[in-house]
Amino acid sequence: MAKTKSNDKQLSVKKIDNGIVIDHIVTGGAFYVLQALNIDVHFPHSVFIAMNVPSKKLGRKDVLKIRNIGKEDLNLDLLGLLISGSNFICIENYHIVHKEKIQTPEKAYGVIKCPGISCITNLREDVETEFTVIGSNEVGNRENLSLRCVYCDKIFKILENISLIQ
Amino acid sequence: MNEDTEHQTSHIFGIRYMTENFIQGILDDASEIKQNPSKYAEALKGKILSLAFWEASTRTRLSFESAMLRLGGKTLGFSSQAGTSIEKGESLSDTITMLAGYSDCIVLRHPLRGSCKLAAKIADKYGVPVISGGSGSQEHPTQALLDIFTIQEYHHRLSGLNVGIVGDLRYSRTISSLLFALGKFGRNTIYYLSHPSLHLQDELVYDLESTDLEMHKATNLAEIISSLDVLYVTRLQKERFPDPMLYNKVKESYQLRPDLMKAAKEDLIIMHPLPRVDEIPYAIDRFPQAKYFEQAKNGVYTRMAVLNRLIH
Ligand SMILES: [Zn+2]
Repeated sequence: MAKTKSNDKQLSVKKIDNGIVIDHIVTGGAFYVLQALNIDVHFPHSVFIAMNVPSKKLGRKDVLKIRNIGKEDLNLDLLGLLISGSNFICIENYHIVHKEKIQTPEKAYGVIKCPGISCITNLREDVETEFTVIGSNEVGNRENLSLRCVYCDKIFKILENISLIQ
Repeated sequence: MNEDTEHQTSHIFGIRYMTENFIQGILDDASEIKQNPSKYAEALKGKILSLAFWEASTRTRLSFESAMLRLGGKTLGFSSQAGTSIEKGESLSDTITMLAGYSDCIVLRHPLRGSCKLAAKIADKYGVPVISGGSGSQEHPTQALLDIFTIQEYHHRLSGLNVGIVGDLRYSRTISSLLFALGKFGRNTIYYLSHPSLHLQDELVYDLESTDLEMHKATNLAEIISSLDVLYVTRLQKERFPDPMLYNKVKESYQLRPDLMKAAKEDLIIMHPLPRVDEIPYAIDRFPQAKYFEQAKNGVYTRMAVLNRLIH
């Protein structure tokens, strides 16, 4: 029993030298992040994914570690639409240099394409998309988080439309 | 874009972004203009209004043009994409930037949703107000202003009304604006009647939940007509139906037949944004309750009031 526990512990806290760690992700969330960030075999950095690992706080959680990138490489507002409540940590030389809780933003700018087929933002125009966040992103209610296009008023659930993230 | 309310006095792209006070101010101005039109004959002398119509709309365009001319101003613009730089691929943004340099106000009609908001964002930099003449199936705010102006003219109130809306509730630009307008003035009861494929848009239903409107689904006109103060009919568009047979069948069930008028209240007003086709037969024109032509005429006074407020 004790042995299993220490294995799990080792798995979830295995340290990286430089990069970012996202901890306490509600299970399933790591997968959304990989999709949203387009992380696949062509991604140039090492990625460590732990899914469904035991957590004191959440029961089970996901953990994601990406080497050699920093806060500036990620859009935390975008992550806030997918995995708010998670802990975002920056590591330099095995030390934590920054830590913050990922929050749901009130607005989302750019990055996401509007699914409204008759929306002006989908025409060849020099315009950044803009969405108002509606619905709750509390743990257990993540699926209901929706965006509303400021231009065409279209309302859609973000987790059902991850392919719209560019 | 900043909080939408900031735009309420400088641009008009939706009734829902206007305050009740602002709307009432426009209605009061329109009423004053209707009584003393000559007083306003030079109100906008030397000013130019752009009419930027990416989509043909004879009524809206001519009504704005008439309003501007009656205020002593001038108009320029285009009424379709044919033969313009737009046909050559010019973007909405570039066209609006150009018009902002040529004129003091821009009225815009465009087939895509959100086009008026984008235009307002651009014209804002030049201090030029933008008025929506319809963007996709989104609001048609000046139509709603003339609609409620007409309702107030006959009923002397904008609350406590039983309003029937019939026809195409999904793609009609005027319906969403009218409902937002009625939702601003207290408790009104709406009876809506349409083919299932033409029901109110989900986004609109969501927005109306925060108003005091009481919404009731009706199954036929005969069932509701005796309780109505206002009957607002919209045109069914043939192209919305995949099957012409279905269109013909549906068309008949939403038609205002003269025999239905027996049950109507004396002070019912029948409205229609025009053009009408078969949904209101010519025989209805002879009933004193038919007010759609008076309603269309009011469009000029309400648009005069809007232009007079926005252009400085
Ligand atoms: Zn949109």
